Amino acid sequence: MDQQIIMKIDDLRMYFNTNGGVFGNKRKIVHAVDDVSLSIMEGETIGIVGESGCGKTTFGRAILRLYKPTGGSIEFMGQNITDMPERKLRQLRSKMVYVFQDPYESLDPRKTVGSTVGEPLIINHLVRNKKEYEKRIAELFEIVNLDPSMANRYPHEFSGGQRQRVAIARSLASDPKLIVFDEAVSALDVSLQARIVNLLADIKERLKITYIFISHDLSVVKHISDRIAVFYLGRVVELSEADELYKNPLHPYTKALLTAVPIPDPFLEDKRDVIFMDGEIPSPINPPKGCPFHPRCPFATDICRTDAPQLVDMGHQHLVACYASQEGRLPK
Amino acid sequence: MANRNKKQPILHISESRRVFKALFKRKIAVISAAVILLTIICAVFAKWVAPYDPYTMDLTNIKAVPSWEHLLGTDALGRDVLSRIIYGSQSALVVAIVSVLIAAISGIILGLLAGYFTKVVGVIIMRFVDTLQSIPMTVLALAIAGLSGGGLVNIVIAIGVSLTSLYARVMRGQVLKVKQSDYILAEKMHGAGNFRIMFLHILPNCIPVLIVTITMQMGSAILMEAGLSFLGIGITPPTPSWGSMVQDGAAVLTTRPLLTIAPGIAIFILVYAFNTFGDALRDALDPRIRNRK
Repeated sequence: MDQQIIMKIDDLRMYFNTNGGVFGNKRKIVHAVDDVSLSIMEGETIGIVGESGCGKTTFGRAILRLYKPTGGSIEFMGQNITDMPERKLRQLRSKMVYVFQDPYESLDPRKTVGSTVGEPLIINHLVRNKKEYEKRIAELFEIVNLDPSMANRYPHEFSGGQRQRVAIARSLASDPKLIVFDEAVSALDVSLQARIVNLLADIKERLKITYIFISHDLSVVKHISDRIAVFYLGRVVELSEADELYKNPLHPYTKALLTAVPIPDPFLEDKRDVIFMDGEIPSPINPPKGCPFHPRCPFATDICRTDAPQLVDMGHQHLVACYASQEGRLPK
Repeated sequence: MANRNKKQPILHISESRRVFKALFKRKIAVISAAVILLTIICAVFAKWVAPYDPYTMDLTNIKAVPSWEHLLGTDALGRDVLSRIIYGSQSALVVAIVSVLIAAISGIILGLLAGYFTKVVGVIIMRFVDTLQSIPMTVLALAIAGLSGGGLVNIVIAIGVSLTSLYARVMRGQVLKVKQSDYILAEKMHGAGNFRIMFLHILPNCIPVLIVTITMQMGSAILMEAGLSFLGIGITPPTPSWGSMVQDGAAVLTTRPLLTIAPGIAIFILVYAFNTFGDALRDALDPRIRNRK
């Protein structure tokens, strides 16, 4: 694999203010993404997994500068885009795109799907005339296995899977280098999920695009990712090659997550060790001191309650942020 | 997919053609369009359509009951009511269409800006709209009339200005709602400029509410004109206006009800035609219900 970094994220922080109440309650700060560093290689697929509310979506949007980050820096194709003004950023937007979770919400209901797909072409002046424009739209429809003659229809005439393919076609229109898929298949039923995931893998192979694949569904992520980052409460707690992560999870949270994936074989299902988590994910308004996972962690010790662990390479490019794991106190 | 149609797709069956097609499929739209068109023809060709001159008084034949000579009778000054209604359609149409268009265009632009740029621009615009709204329409019309005299143009401006705040508010609310949609964020993510997002994506998605407001206001604009004319700052007599005909007739409502009812029905028909046409237009503009019967 090509080992060039396409996007370098350093200590990215994304905080939001809650609105103060009517009675002058203090504004609170939501720590949606906290000190995340990640280097994304050109051509790879990074999976981002975590529970709902762990900051996956915020992370995905922040790195594309759909939000203005609170701290840290983002470098895309060698350019620092952290504080880049919107006007300048617009030229880079064609190279990094985002596919939304809900295909029922992400297509303008009053525009034909053809003009929705073609819009990035016009915005970025990628076509010179109408003939070229129509040819390119037809191409894009072919890529996502839709009949180009459907271009004249409106989104409400399509099923969820077709709409998501329209959304994917739109994201491909401007020849992007990086696509963030935010739960791009979660809204679809299982058989469709598989088809879309395969389609994405296929497109990637042909067009050499870097994917960031955000999902709460570990089996989907496993299927498509080269590397996987596990998010917990706005932080990366484990980062590793996909196979390695599934074979040898190092963080107790990852272990618990993997336990939650059902195995379709009752004998294997019975045999495996199960780690249960207590309670709910803590509120990002008041994140716990120390390791964010310690209130739910069966292996937490004093140090976990006071100091936040850093990501440490445990060999084979397998990084984990957990004292217990780093000290080898976790059961295998 | 094997024997896929090799023909290039025709991407642009133009939007306006689709809208027209859907519009003409609706009987009610065709009928109301015909009524509006007929009113416009009457207004433009009043001179030839009206049987009498609307200003000629015949004091020997006042408050006449309908006859073959005067189909709707005559008013307190012996003028032919039918002719006055036909001539009155001129001011009714101008007031209904022009003042509402003034209000709608300025209000929509203000509301679009205020809803899109919520911070500084939005606050300034909305405070301006508040100020506008705090001035009663009658006072505003009086002020305009005082500055440049009464007459059709001035009341059109007065009504237009006083309705502006309504559109600005309705529009701003819609923009705030539509702006939150994923498809608007998607536009931004693809690098679309503010202008493109506002006019090509937010505005079309605000249309249903706007059309309802516009067609409703056309009726009230005609009624406002009647009120202002009654105060003597609107259309000055003897120029015929439906509003003032209703007001004049009210004095003899018990003995000659037709003097009130006839212009009242004219107002009703025109307003109703605008409303139904607006409804049909709204449906035709929405691709989701366009082809529904």
